[in-house]
Amino acid sequence: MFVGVDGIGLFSKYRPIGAAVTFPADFLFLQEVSSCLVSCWSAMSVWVPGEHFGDEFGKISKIRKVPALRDGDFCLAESVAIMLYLAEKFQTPDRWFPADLRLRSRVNEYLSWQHMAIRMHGSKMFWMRLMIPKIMGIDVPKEKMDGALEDLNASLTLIEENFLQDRPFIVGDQMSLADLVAIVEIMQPLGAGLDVFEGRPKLSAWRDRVQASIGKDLFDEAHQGILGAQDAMKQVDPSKLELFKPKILRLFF
Amino acid sequence: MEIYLDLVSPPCRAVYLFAEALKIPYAFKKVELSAGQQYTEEFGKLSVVRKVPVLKDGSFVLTESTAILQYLVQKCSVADHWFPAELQQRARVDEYLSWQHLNLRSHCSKVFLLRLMHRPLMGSEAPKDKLDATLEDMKQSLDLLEEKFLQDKPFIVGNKISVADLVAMVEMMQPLGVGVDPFQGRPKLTAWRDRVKKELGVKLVDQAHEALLDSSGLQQKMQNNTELHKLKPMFLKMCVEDAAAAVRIRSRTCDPVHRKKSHTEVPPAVLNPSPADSLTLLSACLAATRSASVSTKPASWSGSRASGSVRSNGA
Repeated sequence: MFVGVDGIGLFSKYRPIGAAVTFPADFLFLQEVSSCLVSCWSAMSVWVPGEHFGDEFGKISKIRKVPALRDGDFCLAESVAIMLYLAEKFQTPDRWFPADLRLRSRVNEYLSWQHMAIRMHGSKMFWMRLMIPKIMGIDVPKEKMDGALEDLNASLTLIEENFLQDRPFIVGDQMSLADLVAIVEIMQPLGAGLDVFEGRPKLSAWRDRVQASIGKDLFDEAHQGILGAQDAMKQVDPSKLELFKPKILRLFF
Repeated sequence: MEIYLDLVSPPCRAVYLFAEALKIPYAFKKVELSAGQQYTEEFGKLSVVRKVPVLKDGSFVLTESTAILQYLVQKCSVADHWFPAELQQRARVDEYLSWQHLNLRSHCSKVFLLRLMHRPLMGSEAPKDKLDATLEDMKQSLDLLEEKFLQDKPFIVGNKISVADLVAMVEMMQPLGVGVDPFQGRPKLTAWRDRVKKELGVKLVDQAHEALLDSSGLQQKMQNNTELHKLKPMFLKMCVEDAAAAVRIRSRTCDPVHRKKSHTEVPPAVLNPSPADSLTLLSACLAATRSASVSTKPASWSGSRASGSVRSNGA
């Protein structure tokens, strides 16, 4: 269970497979922000399956999702809100969320757009290729898969042509929260064996810059879970996942 | 400064109400979505995303209503309560603005689109079970709005209105355009809406919602829309499924005994159908399957790991 610490507690999946799978953006940002946060991070909650449906987590977030942050009595959900909170509280370098009106607007624009676009489409592909066949024991109908692929392609194209254009990063010469949030969502379908970077040299080059900016080791650590998802799922006994079937039906069918 | 708007769209109403209520000088540029004006070449030059609202300030073009609202807040030096500088209050606004995309906004829009567009696009009214499921989704979002975001406060952040209330209110009004009243049986939300209207100006809010509430006008516009076919793929993916396939899948994967059993065992929160839950659900699934030994060496991403390509299969 959660080990109480003074300072900020970030509820996420500490175990690498969970942390990377859920919200690596926060993990990456935390490491970037401050060493004092790293000491808090090391005392994170030890996750058990379904814990976010329990009473204790419910006191932290009624939304019952991760990540969630608790700073003293203050509880906060939504990864974007959490990152903005950390950026402000710890006065992170300006580039993450620039003070300049237009640059900041570009970050806000991306952070808003991505919810109903790449976040949704990347996640959907991951589910359709990996999780649904495993949990439901069926293959997703071809027309649904094709439709989801089309949406994902459209989102990736917009990222290249509208948000990146000819810039090294979304906002300009330096990496910001927009790039951080973008990269983790784009990596999601990779976990299901779908190479979203193939045939997209601009996106690949951007990914390399983001990876270099974050640091390869940290980047890899954050994505360990998602990239190991295919292997992990091979060991799964589907009967243990019966609990999730009704929800999957509601989400996808 | 120009702002491109169609007031049938909730995000447009949020920007419009903010600019008007705070008397921010701008030129209103009408974009008639029901006539497919977002698909014109001219509009495409303004924004390749082809959505509204769009702000154009000199050569600076900005999309996404929440980004536009924050731009106006910062540029026009409005009263602090709209987007408080205080850390925790600001975080509350950010939290709502983030959550609402895939929750309240998504579900209220779905109700609206399903009732408005199913007949023109599919030739029949939306199936009852599909509509019921969408209404149930909307109900869960409204419950969270009341119980988590509003609680016993006059407004989402506290005693004063912020952009969070504005964005929430316009989305919640949307189903009224198709005769679905989300305020019915919800006195707390009704009182909150009335407070929001009062802060903005009751006449202004009513005027902003005129086009939405003219339902016969909306229906007529849909029928006259020559670009309607362009909306069909989106509509199909967002609102409509192959009902026969869905039934086949359900019957294969959920036998009656299991269905009954799982209904009683699954916590209510699991049934929140927001796509955002997929991430939480995913982590729960993987945690449930986690073996005792976890590889300690990070797997670096590698093209060789991938077995499929987006490009070769996609459009």
